[in-house]
Amino acid sequence: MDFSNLNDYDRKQMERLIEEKQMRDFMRMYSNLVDRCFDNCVNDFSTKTVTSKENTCVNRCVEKFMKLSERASARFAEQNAQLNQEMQQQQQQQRK
Amino acid sequence: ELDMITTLFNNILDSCHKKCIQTNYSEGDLNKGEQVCIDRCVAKYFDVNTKVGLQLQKMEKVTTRK
Repeated sequence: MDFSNLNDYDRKQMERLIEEKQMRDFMRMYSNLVDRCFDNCVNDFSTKTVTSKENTCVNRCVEKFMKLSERASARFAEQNAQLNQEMQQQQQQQRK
Repeated sequence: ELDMITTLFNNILDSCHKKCIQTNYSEGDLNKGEQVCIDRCVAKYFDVNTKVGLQLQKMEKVTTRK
């Protein structure tokens, strides 16, 4: 996705769209995370307040997810780069 | 294209979390087992993603020929 050949106006449009998309993605991730951590951690309804055990669990849940996201993102980038490389090689071979 | 990539990534996060992360949350860090699982999960998911695409292409050719 190369934006260098778009004019200023189009480029700003694209940037705005991407920003909006990132906002939406973040909100989606946030609500999924809340859902997941609540499902896994909160099971004691004998009290209205969140217990300290549940609190710790939720903190770990978030931390773990963020670390997962970081690691998966690194691996994802590697896989993507590898795939692009393979596709380029295939294209070169087809041209011969 | 950007949508496809972010959807793919979010699906990877979701699936690999279900398959790899123990839900007892005994600690905040990823343990070694989880780390290895995540690495393999991402690689395999990517692979399956490509394979499904190829298979769909193949099936499309078969159905359009009829």
